[in-house]
Amino acid sequence: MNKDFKPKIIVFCCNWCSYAGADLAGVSRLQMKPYFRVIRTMCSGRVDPEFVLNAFTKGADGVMIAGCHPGDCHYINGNYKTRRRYLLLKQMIAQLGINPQRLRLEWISASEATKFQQTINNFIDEITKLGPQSQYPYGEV
Amino acid sequence: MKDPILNRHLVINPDLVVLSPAMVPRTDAPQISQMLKVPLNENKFFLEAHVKLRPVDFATEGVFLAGLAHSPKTIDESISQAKAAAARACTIISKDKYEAEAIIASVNEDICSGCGVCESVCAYGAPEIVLKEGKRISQVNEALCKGCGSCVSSCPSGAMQQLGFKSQQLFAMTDAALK
Repeated sequence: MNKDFKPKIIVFCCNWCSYAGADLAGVSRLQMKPYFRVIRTMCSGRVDPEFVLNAFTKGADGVMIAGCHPGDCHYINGNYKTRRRYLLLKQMIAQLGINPQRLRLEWISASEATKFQQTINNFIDEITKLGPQSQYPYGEV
Repeated sequence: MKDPILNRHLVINPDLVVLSPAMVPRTDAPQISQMLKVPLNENKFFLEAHVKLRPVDFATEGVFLAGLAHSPKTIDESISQAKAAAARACTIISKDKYEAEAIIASVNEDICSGCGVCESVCAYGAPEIVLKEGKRISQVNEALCKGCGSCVSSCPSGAMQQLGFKSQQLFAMTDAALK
């Protein structure tokens, strides 16, 4: 494992829960590894599978989709749609040669700043262990 | 009874004992939730749009929340919440015109194939398949759209776009983040 490896991680956060949770984590000064970038969408249901594939194509080492807990969606049921898409997408990226562990779906509410911190750090550790995605030009699975 | 602060047993001789029983949500809450398209939390109490920023509003415009429908609370809290809800309602009623949200979905009618996926995924019934000049296309009711973008991400032909969150914008953000 390369010690200098700094993973590039894209986190799609829904505006109402996870983005607010990330905000709270920042305001509460919880320490997180600086290898992720948050992209805000209004709902996790807005995350088109194409966004995730685009991120992997452009060199992301990991992608996380974060939304409201089931039943807590601001838009009634957007996160259920995300969950269905995510399960299909996980199978699809495996077929494309990307380790499905590089894609994660998490439920983080606006008050769960510590959960956001832990999930992010945990995901970054996992991706660091897996190494850069680009080292497998013919697929890693 | 045992007092947890003093950590010893106390004997009290009251004239009247008033119990504070558990408060449970109404059993018809799920029906109302579906009817008004407003969310419930895991305990089947109604869920406001935002705990801190919009405490008496729902995500659905024009529906407000007060009292025990929201969570177990005292009568004082119910009254102040009801006043807040009434004030919020006044902000809509007092205006002649109502400004809709800006980040709504919009259809590119040239690309739309009229498949109806957007119609089936929308929780608010905003997109609708209509016949226009002999062609089946989707049309978004701008007053009903809440701007979640579910229809946009499920549109197979890319005809649906969310203003402010267009696919191109989100691609550009991802590209910039990965540079």
